[in-house]
Amino acid sequence: MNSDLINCRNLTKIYGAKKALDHVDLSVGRGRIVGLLGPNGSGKTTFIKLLCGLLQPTFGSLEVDGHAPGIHTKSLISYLPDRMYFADWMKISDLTEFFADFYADFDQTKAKEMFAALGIGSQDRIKTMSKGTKEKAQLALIMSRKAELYLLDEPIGGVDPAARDFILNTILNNYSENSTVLLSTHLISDIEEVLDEVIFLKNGRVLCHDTVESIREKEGKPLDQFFREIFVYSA
Amino acid sequence: MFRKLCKYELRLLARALVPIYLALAGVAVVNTFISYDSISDEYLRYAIDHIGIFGGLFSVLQNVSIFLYFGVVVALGVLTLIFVIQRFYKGLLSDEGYLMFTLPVEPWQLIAAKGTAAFAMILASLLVAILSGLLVMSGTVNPIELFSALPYAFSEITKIYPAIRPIDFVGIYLILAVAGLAVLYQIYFAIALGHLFGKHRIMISLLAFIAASAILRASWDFGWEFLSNFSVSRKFVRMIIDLPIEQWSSSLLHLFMLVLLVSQLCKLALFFFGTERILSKKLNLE
Repeated sequence: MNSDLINCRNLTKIYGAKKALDHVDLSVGRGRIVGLLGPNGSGKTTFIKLLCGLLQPTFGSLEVDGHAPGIHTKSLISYLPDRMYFADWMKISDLTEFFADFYADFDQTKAKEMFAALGIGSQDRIKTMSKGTKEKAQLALIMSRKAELYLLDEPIGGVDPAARDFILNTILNNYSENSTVLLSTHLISDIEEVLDEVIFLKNGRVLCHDTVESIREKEGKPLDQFFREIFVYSA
Repeated sequence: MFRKLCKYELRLLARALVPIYLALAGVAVVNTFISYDSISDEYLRYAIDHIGIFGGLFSVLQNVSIFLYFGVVVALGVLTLIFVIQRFYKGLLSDEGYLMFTLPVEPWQLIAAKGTAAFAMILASLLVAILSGLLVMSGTVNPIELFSALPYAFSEITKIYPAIRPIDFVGIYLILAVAGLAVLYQIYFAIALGHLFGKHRIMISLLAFIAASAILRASWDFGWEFLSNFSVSRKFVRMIIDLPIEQWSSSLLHLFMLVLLVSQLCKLALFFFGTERILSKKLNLE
């Protein structure tokens, strides 16, 4: 087992003429909750997609648990995209069966408990659910895996404060100790308290990668305020 | 994993197509019972034959039901093709692609599962269409008589084409199956290629399909030209071109079938790996 869970060197992703990620050097350890923070278009989603193997780097190297993205890394990663990725007609029972079939680390009992807590029945279809319930159901499935790395892309974007609390509690209560949670967002004040580390991205470059405690000590201000200062838009 | 992928694909396609199979079966049953020969009741037959309005009504009913039957058969063919294409596009290149491409499986397994399930459902649709046709005909023709006519039909074929043996039909079906799969993967390849672009994806996919067909056609012609340059193969090429098919020997037929099979396998491999390369290296889900 490698000491660092995520390791990337010189990682660059270029779309046409635009650099989405620009020579990123990063190492993320195990058992951490890491915030991937930055404004829209800073490269957060691209970084997560590269980790998942949905995109290929233009150049540079990227490793998860010492392996380039592939079957091994996909079996370790539980990924929540910034959209619904289930077919509308599927029932909750279809989805749990699907996850159990493809992921050896999927805990069906845990999933059933989470669905019961949410008031979602096994025969409920995705298409009959509200947007918020769909997102919660998707998160419940993702967090029912005993994955080593949870990649959560904007898990609290576009939901009401109560749902936001539910989502954060679900994340905190369901990830295992040695797992790392990497979650991207620009709603920093909501997650500041749960984070161990933060990675600030701007225009595809890493501006800062440090522990929350260290930033608070060095800067003497909350993370949210620090974020506003470094990402200030010029009028 | 491949088996599980196929299971889900088959379930998805069956979910869309089984209602059409049932509709076709229903219309076929109606057509079977509505044929004149299937009516055993003498009074009813008398009424149809001798009472004008009753005969006219019966004829209208027959025409409507047969029209409906052929309508459902056409719909089955069209919808099978649409669902197969839609399952590839929606399953791999739209939002569902985020789920499928993050499963711990190789991209080639995803593509192979799509093709295998699609091919199985195309065969199922074909079988359902044939069985429904037999059911409709059973109203007027005895199925046993129909099947007993097959050896006669075959003997007529061998009279015209003496080189063909019963076993050759296995080879012909194999070539047709590989050719069908090759066309399916050509469609997948064209869709994957079109999806590399940000705009006009359908138009580009269509153009890619047409361009690939034109290139394959030119390669086929070029291949024959190429073979005719060598003394070993020249005689074979000349015989294929000059001899009428009725005069082909069994060995010439087998050699030609082998060429066809190999060329279709090459086409299949080309489009399968082309699609795999695009989706592995250039996946564009946005």
